[in-house]
Amino acid sequence: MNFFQEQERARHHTMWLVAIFTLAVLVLIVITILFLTGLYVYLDDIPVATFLASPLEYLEPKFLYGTSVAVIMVVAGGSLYKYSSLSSGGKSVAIALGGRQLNRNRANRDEQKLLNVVEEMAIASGISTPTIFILEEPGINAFAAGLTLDDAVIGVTKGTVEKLDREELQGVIAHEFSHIFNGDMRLNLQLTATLHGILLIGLIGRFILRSMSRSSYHSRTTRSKKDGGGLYVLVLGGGLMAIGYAGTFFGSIIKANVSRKREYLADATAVQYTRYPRGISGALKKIAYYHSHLDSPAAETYSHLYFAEGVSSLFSSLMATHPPLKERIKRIEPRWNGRFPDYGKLQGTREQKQEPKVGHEKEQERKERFTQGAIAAAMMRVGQVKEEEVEKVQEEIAALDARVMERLGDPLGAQAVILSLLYDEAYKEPLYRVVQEENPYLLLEFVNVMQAEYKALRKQSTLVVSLSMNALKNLSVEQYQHFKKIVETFVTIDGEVTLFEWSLQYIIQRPLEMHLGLRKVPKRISTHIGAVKEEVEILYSMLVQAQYSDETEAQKAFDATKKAIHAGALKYVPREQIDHETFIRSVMAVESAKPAIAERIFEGVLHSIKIDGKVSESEDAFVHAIAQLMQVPLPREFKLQEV
Amino acid sequence: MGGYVFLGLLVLLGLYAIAIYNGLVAKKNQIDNGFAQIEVQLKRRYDLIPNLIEVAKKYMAHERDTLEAVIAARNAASGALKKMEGQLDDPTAVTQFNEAEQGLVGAMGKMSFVMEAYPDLKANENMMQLTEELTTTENRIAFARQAYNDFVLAFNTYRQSFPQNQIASMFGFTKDAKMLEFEDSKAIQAVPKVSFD
Repeated sequence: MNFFQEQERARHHTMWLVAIFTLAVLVLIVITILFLTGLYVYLDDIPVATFLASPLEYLEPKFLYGTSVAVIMVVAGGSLYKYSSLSSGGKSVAIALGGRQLNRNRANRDEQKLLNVVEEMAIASGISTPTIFILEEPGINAFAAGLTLDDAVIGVTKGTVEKLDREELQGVIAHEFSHIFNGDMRLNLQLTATLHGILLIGLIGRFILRSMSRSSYHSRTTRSKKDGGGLYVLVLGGGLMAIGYAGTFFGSIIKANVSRKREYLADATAVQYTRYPRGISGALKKIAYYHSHLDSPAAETYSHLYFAEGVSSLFSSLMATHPPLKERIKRIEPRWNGRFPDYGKLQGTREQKQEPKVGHEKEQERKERFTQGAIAAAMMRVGQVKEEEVEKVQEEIAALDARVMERLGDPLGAQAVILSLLYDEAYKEPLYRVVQEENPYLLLEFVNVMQAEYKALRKQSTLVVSLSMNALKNLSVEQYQHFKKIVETFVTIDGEVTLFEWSLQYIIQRPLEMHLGLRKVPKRISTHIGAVKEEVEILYSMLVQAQYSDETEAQKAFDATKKAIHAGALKYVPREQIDHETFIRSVMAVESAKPAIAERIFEGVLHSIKIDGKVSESEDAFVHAIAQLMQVPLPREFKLQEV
Repeated sequence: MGGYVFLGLLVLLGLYAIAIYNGLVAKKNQIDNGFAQIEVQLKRRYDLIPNLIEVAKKYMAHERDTLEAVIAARNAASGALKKMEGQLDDPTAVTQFNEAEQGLVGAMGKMSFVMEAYPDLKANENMMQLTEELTTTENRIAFARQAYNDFVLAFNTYRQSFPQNQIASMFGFTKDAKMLEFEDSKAIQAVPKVSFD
């Protein structure tokens, strides 16, 4: 299955969830009615035999109807509420779990390592860098949460960064990335929201009980009332709690079942991403030695999001959200002897272990790596991240000036570096002036960056933007508005917006605005390519025109593109008919395409960009922008072909 | 039927309260994150100042008092920062820090004024690099402080608006957060000169 099919599959799973949810609500209604009737029979002292003889006599339609409405209202209300609070994205989960946003300029060494690993993998897979959160917990665990690629967050416990080495950490992060690409992340949040509605009944019951115990204390001290009503409410509260928890119990079983299957898949994908099974299996072994428990009170709600079991449950085989550790390790490392190393003893010899292995041992390991890779590839044909791609990214980052890297870790420095990419010497005065007017603090930083004259930074524009994201996510909304205005001035100062400028602006603004809550996740509505035909025509025509100034050449390239994606009906749009507005409109329309056609459209974009045999920096930026817009992780081999 | 409507309303109210609570927590979180951003730069500056003084000592032997005043102010500010950590909602700690920071800015301003009389010192390679780094750091402090105050304002406005003001204290959000109000260092106000020719 490729990425697009996975996304579609995740959507089908959503339908399935809705079905289960409806069933669960029906069951809840029936239980509630039974319970209330029982209560009524008991309190009114109706002999059980009389009741059983003609039970329907006691079940008035009004009562049935009312109870159903009440249950549906509560459950729907709870779910809708959770949906809306989760629609702000993965960030809300991280905050609920007590996460702390991580930035380069305040990260310690272990945290730097984590930042590097996440950023490398994000860049290698071509998605916007996820926001990274640290959970102050000693256990080894991690999670990925979010609705789309833009608002994805990755949370990692402190124990993880402290106890795992780089390879193991890479395995864990690769596992989380696979959750992102497989569409599990979205499914998981929907599951959370759905279960919340059912859980709410239990919470209301508990609330009634608690307020009852308080008010009964009051009534005892002031005046004693007849106890009938009080008892009724008490039993009602207890009953609701029991019903709610019964609902939650079954909900947890569903949740665990969905989750467990996906974990094996994520492990396999992680092996494929890193081509190094020892990384992830080492992490799992360390979890067995230490533990993966989370202490946060919200931990239970998100138990299906974690890397490993975060909360222990009573009926572990039924409700475990993750397969047993041993089983997971065995699947990754079939020849594992079943013994866990004693990490407490190993600590001292850790450095020795990292020495390069020689001769036979090395050969053995390489062989193992190779077969593991093949197995993993057979299990899972998605391939967004490859080891060599991550290595390439590492090289590219290492090639950046150390001072640029230092600047990118700071909100002010990152802004200055980005502006230097868009700077146009011909408009020196107005550009400096707008910086000074909008953000006087930025001026000095910007002057410094411009004076340093970092070479070839523009070629690495998309890399620079990716690396700046974590720092820029610390801007306040007000500060972002100023930055946005400066960027806009830099882009439009010469009266035209180039492909490069538009693209860069887009890949900066989109993730930041999602993060700040200024932009909502768009709904995907278009289900077939015909719905966006004109827009796609404009997009492709413009792309080929950017590469060929000659109209007939451009048309030829357009025809080749259209053939490549089997869309013969597309018509070439001449240059003079396309202006900036029509372009923006097309882009927005393309954004609403569902994954299945997004795949075709994107294929066409890649094709039309590669058509003249080279990939310029503006084409690179544009592909990144389109990839973000269409929620597609950018195929890295696309970048690798560029020389 | 009235009972069900009442129950429905109760549920909605409960959900609304939870939403408010989450909003408060998220905004509080931003303040903490914003503070960490300032803290990292402040600490960097507190580390830079002693180095700067070390270099200056060699040239400004007669200005011992001025230099010692800077070090004393730096230590006071550093101490006040440590005290404030984790007690951002304690107004006295914040006020103390604001004052200490103010004192440091004053001492630094005085030092750079005195430094004008020592052209050799100003031309010293080390000194130039340190001053440059200090200015950058101070800029970043000012910028981070701006963000922090934005977060504080957002939190306070949210907390004080209806209906949050009715229930915020029930959730333990009893106080407004306090802005950081120390003045920008003189060094920043001297905006770098850019020639437009």
